[in-house]
Amino acid sequence: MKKYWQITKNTWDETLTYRTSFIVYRLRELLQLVATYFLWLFVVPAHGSFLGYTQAMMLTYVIGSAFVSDIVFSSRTSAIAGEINEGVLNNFLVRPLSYLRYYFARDLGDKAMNVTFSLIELSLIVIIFHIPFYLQHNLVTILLFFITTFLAMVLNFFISVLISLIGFWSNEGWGPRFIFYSVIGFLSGGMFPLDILPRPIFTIFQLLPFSSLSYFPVKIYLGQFDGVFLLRGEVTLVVWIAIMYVVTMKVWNKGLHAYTAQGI
Amino acid sequence: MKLYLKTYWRFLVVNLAEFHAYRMNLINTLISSLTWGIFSIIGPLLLTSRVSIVAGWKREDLLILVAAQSVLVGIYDCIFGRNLNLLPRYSELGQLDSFLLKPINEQFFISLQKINYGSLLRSLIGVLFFLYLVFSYKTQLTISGLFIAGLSLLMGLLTLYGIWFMAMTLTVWFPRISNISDLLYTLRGITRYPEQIIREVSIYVFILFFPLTFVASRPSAILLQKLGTDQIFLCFGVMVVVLFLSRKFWLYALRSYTSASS
Repeated sequence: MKKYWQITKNTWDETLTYRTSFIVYRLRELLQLVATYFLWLFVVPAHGSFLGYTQAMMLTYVIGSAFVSDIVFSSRTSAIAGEINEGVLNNFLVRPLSYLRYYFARDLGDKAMNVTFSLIELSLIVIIFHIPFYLQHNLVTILLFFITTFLAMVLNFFISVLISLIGFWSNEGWGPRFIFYSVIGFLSGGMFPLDILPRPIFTIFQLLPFSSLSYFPVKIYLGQFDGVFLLRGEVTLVVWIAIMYVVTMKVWNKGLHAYTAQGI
Repeated sequence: MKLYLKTYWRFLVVNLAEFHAYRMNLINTLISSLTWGIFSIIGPLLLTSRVSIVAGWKREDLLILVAAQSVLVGIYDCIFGRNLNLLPRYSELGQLDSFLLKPINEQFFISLQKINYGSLLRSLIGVLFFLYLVFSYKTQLTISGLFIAGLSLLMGLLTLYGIWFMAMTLTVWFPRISNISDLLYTLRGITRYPEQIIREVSIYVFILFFPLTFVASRPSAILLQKLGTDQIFLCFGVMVVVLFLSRKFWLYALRSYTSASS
C-alpha cells in the first residue's frame, strides 16, 4: 500500500514539474466549460425556463458537471496504449507491483491536482460572471454526492483502461480514445442535463454506464432526487463497475498473450 | 511545382499502401470515423429537437452548419490532422533535422506526409447529411451559391490549418505540451456554433475567436444567403493573413530549434 501512496505523491510532483503541459490541459477544460456555459446562457431565457430548467438551474448544472468531470474524467491511463506500443510495459511486468493498481494510484495524484485547480477556476468563474451557484447545505446529500462521485471515478477508471488496452492490437490508440471520450462527454450529461432529451432517449441513456459518470452525481448534489432515483442510480453504477472490472481483466489477460514485448 | 506534385502523389500512394497493410488500424480508423461522424450529427439533432431558433439561425440552418463543419473536419483530419499532431514528437526527439535537411520545403513535408484516408468517411457522412437536409427542408440553393460556399469552406480549411500550425509551432520551444492538440480540438468544436453566438457573448471573446468564424460559420452563412457572396474576399483575406503569420512564426521558431545529438 505504501508504494502506491508514493506513486500518488510522485504523480502530484510530476504534474508540478511539467507545468506548461498542465496549464494547457486546464486551459482546455476551462475553454470547454466557458463554451458550454455561454451556449446555455444564450439558449435559456433569463426570465422563464427552458424544458423545465431556469437559467440559474442550468448554469449551476453546467458548473457542477464541470467539477464532477474534473474528478471523474481526469486520468493518466491514456498513456497505457503508448506504453504497450513502445514496449515500456516490459518494465512494469517484471516489477513487484500491479500495473493497474499503479495506474489507479497515478490517477489519484492526478485527480487531486485537477480538483485543486478546478475549485479555484470555478470559484473565479462564479465570482466573475455572477453566477447564482447553488451551494448544497445538507450533509447527507453531500456525503451521498462524494460516495457516488468516487464510484463514478472507479467506473471511469475501468472504462478508460479498457480503451487504452486497444494498444495490444493497434498502434492507433489516441484517435479512438479521443472520439470515445467526446461521445462520453455528451452521453454522460457533461454538457447539459440528460433529462431535457426526449423521454425514450433519456430512458435509454440512463441504462448506459455513462449517465452515472456526470449526470447522476450532479443531480444528487443539486438535491434533485428521490429514493427510487437514488437506488436505481446506485445499483446501475455498482453493476456497471462489476461488469467493466470483469471485462477489463479479461481483455488485459488476453492482451498479455498477444503482447510482443517490443524492445526485448 | 512539379516536384511537389510528384512528392504528394508519392505520399498518397505510400499512405494508401499503409492503410491497406495494417488491417487492425484500418478497422480501428474506420470505426472511429464512423462513430464520430454519426455522433457529431446525432448530438446537434437531439439538442436542437426542442429548439426552433438560436441566434437568428433556424434549426435546419444550424444543422446545415453542422454538416458543413463535418465535411471540413473530415478533410482536415485526412490531410493535416495526423501530421500536425506529430510535430511535438519531432521537436522533442530532435527529428526535425531529417525534414530540414531534405531538398524540399520542410513545412510542406511536415504538414502533408501522412494521410488519414479513414477520416474521409466523416466527410462522406457530412455530405449525405447535407443532402438529406437540403431535400427534406427544401432549402433554396443556387449553383453559384454552392460554388462560392464551397470555395469559402476550402479557405476555411486552410485558415484552420494556419491556426493549428501556428499553435503547434509552440512545441518547438515547449516540446512537452503535446496536449496542445487537445486544446485545438476543443477550439475546433467551437466552429460548429454560429458566429452570432460568439459575438453576443462578448466583443473580446469575438475578437479572440474571429478567425475561427471563417472556418465553417461564414461559409454556411454564405450558402444560406445570410451573408453576401462578397464575403468570399474577406474569407480570402483572413486565410492569407493566417497562412502568412503561421509561416513567419514557424521560421522564427526554427531559429530556436536546438536539435538533439547532432
